[in-house]
Amino acid sequence: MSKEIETYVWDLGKCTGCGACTACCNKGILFFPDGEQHPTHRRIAKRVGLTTHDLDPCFSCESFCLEVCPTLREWTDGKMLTVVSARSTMTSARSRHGDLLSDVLNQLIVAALESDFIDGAIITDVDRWTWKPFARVVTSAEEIYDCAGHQFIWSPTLESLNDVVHTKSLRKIAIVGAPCVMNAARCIQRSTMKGLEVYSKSIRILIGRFCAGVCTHDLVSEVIEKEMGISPRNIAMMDRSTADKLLTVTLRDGTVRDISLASTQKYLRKGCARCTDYLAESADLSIGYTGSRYGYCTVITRNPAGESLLMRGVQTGHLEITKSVDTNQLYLGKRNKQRRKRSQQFDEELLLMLQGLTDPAKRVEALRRYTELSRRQS
Amino acid sequence: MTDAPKSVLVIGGGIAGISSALDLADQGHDVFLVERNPSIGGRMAQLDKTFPTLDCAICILAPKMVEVSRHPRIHLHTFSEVAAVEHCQDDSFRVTIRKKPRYVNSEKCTGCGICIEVCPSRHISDDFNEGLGDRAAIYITFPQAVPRVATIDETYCLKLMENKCGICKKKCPTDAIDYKDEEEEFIVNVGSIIVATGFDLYKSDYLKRYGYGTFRNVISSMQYERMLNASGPTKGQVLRPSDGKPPARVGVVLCAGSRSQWCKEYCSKVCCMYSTKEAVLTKEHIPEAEVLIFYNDLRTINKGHEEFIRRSSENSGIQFVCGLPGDIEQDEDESLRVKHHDRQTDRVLTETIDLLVLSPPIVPSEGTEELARMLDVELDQYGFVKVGADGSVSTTARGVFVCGCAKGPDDISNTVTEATAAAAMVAGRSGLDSCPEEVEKMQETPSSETESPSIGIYVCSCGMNIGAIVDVDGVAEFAGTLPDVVHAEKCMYACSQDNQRLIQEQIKEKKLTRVLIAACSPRSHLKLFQDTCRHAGLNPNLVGFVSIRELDSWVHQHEPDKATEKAKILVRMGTSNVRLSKPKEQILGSVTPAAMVFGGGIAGMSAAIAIASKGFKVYLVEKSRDLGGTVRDRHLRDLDGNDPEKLAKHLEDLIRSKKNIEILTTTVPAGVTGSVGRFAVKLSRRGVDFGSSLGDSIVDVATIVVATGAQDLSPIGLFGYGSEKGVITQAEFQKMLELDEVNPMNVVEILCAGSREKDGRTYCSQICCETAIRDVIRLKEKSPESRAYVLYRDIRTLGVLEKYYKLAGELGVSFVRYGEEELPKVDSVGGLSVKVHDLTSDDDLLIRADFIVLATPLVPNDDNKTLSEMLKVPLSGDGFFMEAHPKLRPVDFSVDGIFVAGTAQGPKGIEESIIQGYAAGSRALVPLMKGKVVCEPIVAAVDENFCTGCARCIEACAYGAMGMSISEGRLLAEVNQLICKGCGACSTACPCRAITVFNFSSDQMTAQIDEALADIPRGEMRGVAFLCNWCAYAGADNAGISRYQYPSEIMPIRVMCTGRVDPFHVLYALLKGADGVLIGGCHPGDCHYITGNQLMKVKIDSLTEMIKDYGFEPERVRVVWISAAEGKRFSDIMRSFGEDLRRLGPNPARLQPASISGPEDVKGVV
Repeated sequence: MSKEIETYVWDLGKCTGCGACTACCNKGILFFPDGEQHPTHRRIAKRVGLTTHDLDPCFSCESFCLEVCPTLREWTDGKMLTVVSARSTMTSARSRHGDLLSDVLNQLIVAALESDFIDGAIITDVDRWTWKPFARVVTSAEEIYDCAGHQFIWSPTLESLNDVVHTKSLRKIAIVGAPCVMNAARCIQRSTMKGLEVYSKSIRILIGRFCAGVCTHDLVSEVIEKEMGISPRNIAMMDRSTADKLLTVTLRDGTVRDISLASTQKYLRKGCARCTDYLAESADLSIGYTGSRYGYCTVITRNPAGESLLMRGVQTGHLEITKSVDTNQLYLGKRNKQRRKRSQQFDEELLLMLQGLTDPAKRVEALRRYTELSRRQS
Repeated sequence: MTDAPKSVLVIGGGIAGISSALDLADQGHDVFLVERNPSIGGRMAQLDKTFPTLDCAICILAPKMVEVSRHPRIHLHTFSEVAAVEHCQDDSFRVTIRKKPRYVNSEKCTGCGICIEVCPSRHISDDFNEGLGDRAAIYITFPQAVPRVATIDETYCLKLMENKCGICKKKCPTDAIDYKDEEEEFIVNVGSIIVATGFDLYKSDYLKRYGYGTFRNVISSMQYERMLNASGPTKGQVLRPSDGKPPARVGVVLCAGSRSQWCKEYCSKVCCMYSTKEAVLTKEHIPEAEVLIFYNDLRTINKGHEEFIRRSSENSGIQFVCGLPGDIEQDEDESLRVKHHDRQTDRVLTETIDLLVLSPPIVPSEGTEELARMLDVELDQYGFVKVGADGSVSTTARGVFVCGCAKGPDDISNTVTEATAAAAMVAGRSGLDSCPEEVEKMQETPSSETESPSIGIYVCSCGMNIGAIVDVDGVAEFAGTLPDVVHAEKCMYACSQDNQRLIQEQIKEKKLTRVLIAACSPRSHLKLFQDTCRHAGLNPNLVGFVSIRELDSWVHQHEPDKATEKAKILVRMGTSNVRLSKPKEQILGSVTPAAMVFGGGIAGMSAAIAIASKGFKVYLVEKSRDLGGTVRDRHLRDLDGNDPEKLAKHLEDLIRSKKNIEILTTTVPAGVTGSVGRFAVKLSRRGVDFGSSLGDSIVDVATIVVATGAQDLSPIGLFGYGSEKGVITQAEFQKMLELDEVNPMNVVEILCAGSREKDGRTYCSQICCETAIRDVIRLKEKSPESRAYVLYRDIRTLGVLEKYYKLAGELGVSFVRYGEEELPKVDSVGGLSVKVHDLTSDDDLLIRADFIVLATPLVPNDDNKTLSEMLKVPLSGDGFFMEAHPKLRPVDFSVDGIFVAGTAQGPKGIEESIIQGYAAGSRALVPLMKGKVVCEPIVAAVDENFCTGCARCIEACAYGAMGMSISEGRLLAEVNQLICKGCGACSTACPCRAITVFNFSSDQMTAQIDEALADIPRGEMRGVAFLCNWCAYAGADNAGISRYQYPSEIMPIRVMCTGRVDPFHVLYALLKGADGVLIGGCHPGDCHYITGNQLMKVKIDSLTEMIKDYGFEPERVRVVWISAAEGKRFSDIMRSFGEDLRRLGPNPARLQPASISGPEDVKGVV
C-alpha cells in the first residue's frame, strides 16, 4: 500500500528522489509533480452514471514501491576491495575545464560497452540551456561523449528504468548515480518479487558517486542565475569542493567563479538531511575526487564485478591508475556525513516510540533511548 | 521631575494614545498618559474582532496595554482628566491633571473581584457594554483592564451615598477600599501634547427616526459589537433584546445619520467595513441567519477591504441592499418592518427584520470643545480637531498634535499610523539629541549560576482567590519536599510590595539560584517577579512561574481537593522546569547611527525629515533624477487651495536644507545583508539612461524605510484609450485644466477604469473618486457652461471629503451609477460617446462627450518583487508591500528594522502618504535613539556537535533568522539572534534535533511531562496540554477570569509557539501514560510567529496518522485553535476533550506497566 510510503517516507521528509518507486509502480500512478521533492499518486476516478467516484489507486497492488524504497531499509557499510587513483588517458573538452571525474566515468562505461560487458547505461545529464537535469540512457560511446557531464542537481535517475528495459530493451545496464540511487538499485536487484524481475535481471553494474547531498534545480535559478548573475547556458561545468566549501562554476569561456557552499546549502534536497552515505557504500564501484591529488579521481571497488570493470578500463587502455590515495580524507568525508546518523536514529526512535504505544517492552526501551538521544552534550 | 521639553502629555488612552505613548517612550521621552476612564484601551477594547483580518481585537490590543503599564517611561494616569493647561514662556506647557477618586487604593488592589461579587448595588447600566448589561457599583471595566483595579461608582455606592453598606471594605482581602479617597490635582511640565481623545457614537434625536430608543430591537453598532463579543453581556450570543431569542434576519443600516444634511454631513468612514465584518460574524454565530446591509455607497478603500466585501457578498446569507430604509415600524412581536426602495423592481419593498443594527455617525468625544479651548486649538466645522497647514498631524497650536478619531473619523490602522507620526513630530521638536544613556538602566545585572540549584518557591494565596479553594499551606509544604528546594513558603499576596522585598532578601540570604512563583498568570505577572529578582542579582531567566489561579483555583471552584492536587502537580512541573533553566543576558546588537530611505517621493521625504530632525544621518535613495515622486506629475490642487506640487517642493527644500541627509539620485539598491542595527546596503548608481552603471558602493545603516511608491496604470486598450482620440487619463485632463482658458466641453469621467475588477486588480485605488470630483469641480469653476458626467460604481469620498461630493452635485455635475456586470461602452462613430446603463433609473443612457477621462488605478512598481526578495519582506497578492499587521503595525514589516510608507504599501492620498512617511520615520528612529538593539534571550541555539548543515532549519524559519556558516571545514547552521523570535519552528524541523530554544529545551519539556504524569491515582485521568503563550494560554487565562469551570485533569505546559511542540514530545507524553495530549495554538493566520501553528499542524497530523497505523487511538491527540478572547471555548474544549478521553478509557500504557526495568531508567532527562 502506498499509503505507508506516504506516511513513513514522504511526510517524514525522507524521500531521496531516486525515482525507483515511480519506475516500478505497476499501476503507473506515481509521478513527481513540478516543484515537489517527492512523488505523489495520480487521482483515479471512475464515472458511474452521473457521479464520479474516487478509486483507491493502490487497490490490490503488490506494493513494489515499498519493496524498492531505499529509505525503508538499513544499509551497512560496503567493503573496499581496492582503492586507486585513476585518470583518463584521453583528454576531452570538458577535462580542460577540470571535469576529470566525468572523463573517468565515461572511459569506464566506454570500456564496458566496447567489451560488451554492458549494453547501455543510465547517467544523469543536463539540458545545456537551462541546466535542468534529466536521466539519460546511453548505448554508444558517441552518446556518452555528448553528455554535459556529471553534476549534483537532482533528477529522479531511476525513472528512466522503464525506458531502458521496455522501450530500448536493454538487458545489461550500468547505473551511475548518487548513493541513494545505488541503494535503490540494489533493492531492485535483490528483490525476489516476480513483477520486478525484468528490472532486477537487467541491472548489471552500479557505479556510485561520492555525494555530499544533491540540490534542487532552484540552486541554478536562485543562486547561479540570480545571485551570481550567470546565465545557465554559459555554464561549462559546476563542482562542489567539499574541502574548500565552495561551489565553483566554470563558464564556457574558461572563467571560474565561486560562491560559498553556505549560501547554497538551503537548496539541498530534504531527504539528504538523513543520508549518511558519502562513499556510495552499496555500489559495485564508487568514484569521486576526495582522496586523490589534482588530476586524478579516487575509485573504490567493492566486489569482483566492480573490480573487473576497473580492470577492463585499465587493460583496454582507457584508464591509468596509481595506488596513491589519501584514505584519511576518504574517512574524514565519510565521518562528516555520518553525523547524519543521528537523524536516522531519531527516525528509528520515532518508530520505536510508536511501537511502544502498544508494546510495554518496547515502551521502556523507547523512553530510555529518547532520553539518551535528546540529552544534550554541550 | 523630568526636563520639560522632552516630556510629553498624551490625552486619551485608546489605541491612538497607547501607540503614541509607546513610540515616544521607546524613543526616550517621558510620557504622561491621561485617560478619563478607569482603564486604558478605549473603543478598541470594546470591539469583538477587527476587519479585514478578523483578528480578535482584545488579543492584539491587550499586550500593548500591558506594555504601557510596564514601561518605565510611561506615567499612566487613569480615571484622570486634564483640568487646565498653561502655555509657558519657553514653549512648554504646565498641565494640571485632576485624578478622580476611585475609592480603591490601586497599590493595594489585586483585581481579585471579590468586592464586585459582594456589592449589593447591582443592575447599573454598564457603559462598557453600551447599556446591554449590568454592573455593580464597584466594578472593573473589563477582564483585561489595565490597571486591573476596581473603581467605586460614587453615584450608586450605598456607602458613599447613604453611608449604609460598606460590605466591600469588610470583604476586601487587602484592605484596598478607601471611602475617604478624594480628588487630587497635580501639575506636570511637558514640552508637547498629543490629543488622542477618540470618538463617541452619535446617539441623539436623529436616530429616533430609525426607532432607536423606542423599539427595543433597534440597537447601535457598538451595542452589537458587545453582543458579538465572547466576553460581552450575552457571552457572545446574538440575541434580540426584546425576547432573548436569536434573530433570523438581521438588518444593518449604514449612514444612519452620516452623509445627511439633517444630521452629520460627513462620512464616518469605517461603518461600511465594520458592518460587513459584523455581518460575517453574525453568520458565524447563527449560520442560518440572513443579514441585510442597507447601504448607499460601499466605501471600502483600504488594503484588502474591497476583497473582504467581495468575499462577504459571496456568502449567500449576506445581502447588500442598495438604498437606505425609510419608515420603520414595529410588529406585535417587536419585529421591525423596514421599508426601502428596491432598485431592481423600482418599487418600495417592506422587509421584516428581527434585529436592526444602526451605524450612527462618529462624533468627537464628549469634552473635545472644552479641551480645545484649554489647548487653544481650533476645531473644524464638525467639531473635530483641525489639522495644521501641512495637512498632517499638527494642529493650529504650536506643540500640540492630534491623532486618531479626534481629527476625524478613521479606522484603527490609520489611527495607529497617525499616532506614530505624531510621535515623530514630537520627537522632532525636542531637538537633536539621541539619548542612549537611559537605556543603560534596562541592562541586566550579573547572573548567578551554580552547579546544583537551590530553589525558592513562593505559593501565593492571593487573599481568598487561591486560598479559599486550594490548600495553599499544603502546597507550600509539599513544595518544600521537592528535590533541590531550599525554601518554600506561602504568601498572602506574592505581588505586594513587602513580599517583593522579602523575596529579594531571601535570594541574598539563602543564596537562592532559582525562584518559582505559583500565583496568578505568567502573562501578566512574570515580568514583575523577574524584575524583582534581577534587582536581587538573580538572572530573570531563572525565575519560573506557574498559574494556580487562572488555571486552577478559579476554574475548579467546586472541587477544592482536585484543585489542590493540581496545584501541587503544577508546582512540581514548574520546579522541574526552573531547575533546568539557564541564565542568559539580553541580546544586544550595535547600531550604526544612520538610516536609509528608498524612494524620494513625498512619503520618503517625510520619513527622511523625521529621522534627520533627530540628528541622524539619512541616505535618501531615489532611482530617478529628481525628488518629488509621482506627485510632481499631479496638478490636483485641492479645493482649499493646497497645491501638492508646492508641498513636494516645500519638502524638498526642507530636505536639501538638512546637512545630514545625503541625497543619492539615479541610484538603486542592489543587495542588502545584515539585520536591524547593522544593515549593509549595496547601492548601484546608474547613468541617467539607466543603462550604464556608474559604480557600486556599500552603505551601513541601522534601519531602512521602503517608500518606493507606485505607478499609474497604463490604460492602453481600456475604454478605447490609445485608439480613440479624446479618451484621456486624469493626469492628461488635469494638464488641460491647468490652462488659463478652458473651452466649454462635455466631459465624462469613468471611475474604476481598471480597478475593482472581479479578477486581477481587485483593489480600490482610493484616490480616483476624490480626484475625479475635484477635477470636475475645477472644470465647472473655470467654465461653468461645461457639462460633466461622473460614471461611478460607488462614490468614495470618505470622511470630510464628502463635502466635495455634495458641492459637485450642487454645481450640476451628473453622477451615473453603473454596475460591474455592464461596463460603459465608448463609441466613436459620429463623434465620441459613451453608452452606459444607469442603475439608479434603470435606463440606458447615451452621452456625447468631447473628452472621456479614465480614472485609472495606481499599480505596484515593477521592481517591487526584486526589492522584496532583497529585503526578505513580503508582498501581498496585489503586488504592493505587505505590512506586519494591518491594524497595529501598519508601517512595520515582519522583519525588524525595515518599514514601509506611502503608495508602496497600497494606493493612498497625499496626506496619508505624508503621515505614513512620518510614522515610518518615527518607527525607524526607535533603534537609532536607543543606540542599541535589545532582544529577549528566548532564541534558538544550535548544538554544533549535532548539526550536520542540512539546512532544514532555514526552510522552516519564517523570519530568515537561520543561516549557514563554515566552521572548521564543516557547514553549520547559525542563528541570527537579533532576528530570531524564539518560536522553535526550526527546532522541530531539525532532523538531528540539534536546535533548541532557550529555556524551552527538550529536557525542560520532558521534565514537565514527567512531573505532570507522575503518580496518577488508579481510576483517574491525566493529560497534558501544550498551550501557546499568545492565544491558547491567554484563552485559558480568560476562562479563569470569567470563572468558566472545567475538569482539572489536563496539565498545561506553556510554550511560546506551538511550532515548538515536537511530535516526540507528544509521543513521550503518551508513552509516559498521558490519557490525552492537547495542543492549543492561535487560529490559522493569527500566529504570532507567522506560520508556527501551521507547521505544527502538518507535523501532528502526520503523527496521528502513524499513531493510528500502530493500533493506538489517534483521538488522544488533538490540535485546537483558541483565541485569547475564547475563554468559554477553552473551557468547553477542556470539558469535551476530557469526556472523549473518559470514553476511550485510560491510556493502555498505564494499564500495562512496564516492569522490565526500574522507574529510574525512565525518569526523564535531568
